[in-house]
Amino acid sequence: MPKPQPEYDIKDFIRACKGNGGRSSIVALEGGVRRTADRDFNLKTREAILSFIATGGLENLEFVNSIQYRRSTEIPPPICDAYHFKSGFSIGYISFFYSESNKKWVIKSFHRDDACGPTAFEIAFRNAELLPESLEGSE
Amino acid sequence: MEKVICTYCGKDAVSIEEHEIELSEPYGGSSTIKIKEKVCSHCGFTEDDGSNDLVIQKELSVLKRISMVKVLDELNAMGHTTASMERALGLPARTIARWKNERSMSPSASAIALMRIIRTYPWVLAVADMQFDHEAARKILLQHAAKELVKISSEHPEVEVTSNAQMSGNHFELFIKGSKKIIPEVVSSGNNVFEFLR
Repeated sequence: MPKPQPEYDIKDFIRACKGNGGRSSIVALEGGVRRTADRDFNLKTREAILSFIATGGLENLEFVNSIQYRRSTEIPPPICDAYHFKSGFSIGYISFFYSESNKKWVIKSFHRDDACGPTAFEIAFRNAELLPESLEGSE
Repeated sequence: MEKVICTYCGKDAVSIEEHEIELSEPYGGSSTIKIKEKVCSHCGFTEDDGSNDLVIQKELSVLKRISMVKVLDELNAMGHTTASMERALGLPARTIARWKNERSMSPSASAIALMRIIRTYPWVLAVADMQFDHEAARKILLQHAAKELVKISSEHPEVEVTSNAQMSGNHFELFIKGSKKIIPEVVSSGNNVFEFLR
């Protein structure tokens, strides 16, 4: 069931991205994130993505949901926070989680909202807690 | 050697896989490079490898250099000389020539952005030449918009372009409409004649 409140303070995440001028080693990108960040936002490297976030690139942040990110049944799933943001003429979608075991933030998704993010209907259904369990956590 | 552990599950079942990706730069073409991805065989989590940034940045700087040279060659071919562009933009003499010719020098990101904008809209040079005067800029923009419309119209003879401008009360209306030309087709069927619009 998605949480109505964010699991993390977004400021902590943004601070982590600041790291050493975008060279933060405590923020990792899940495979595929760099490709969508390049395709949708012309951000071609990890450094470019983290610098963008660190310098206030995520404008008008709007919390979407907070859901468990389950890849394996053996591991307690981390909670993944998702937000919409605005940048220039685009609306984006970012989701991230904090890995307690590795003490690292992981960016799970970073793309234009109309590319493959949850639809307006899905968000509305999630907020109303009407989304079938089978679709929870999907994008 | 430091053990690589999975950021998701913490297990050391991580292997490095190589993938080819295509990088591209506007006006600079594209190229293919190999990047690394950490893949955990335990949970299936994949993570971008930290070493990719260097490889990508290196290739991007090559593509950016190609992009700058192509943009300047194309602008020169359109009749904009390096000296005239430097003068219009208020750049020190030989700045653009150095961007183009000095292989050891990498033009800055702002220089590349500026020249790409000019390559996309070369008439911006005429605006710069008029010291960015607002009235002149508007006139140049409208002239080029009109030229583009004429060009589009000639490229699509099947489209009829109509336009109108009028003052109405306290507002000004301007519209440009493109619509497919209607060709009446007469089909006979028995004693009736039907007119179809294509």
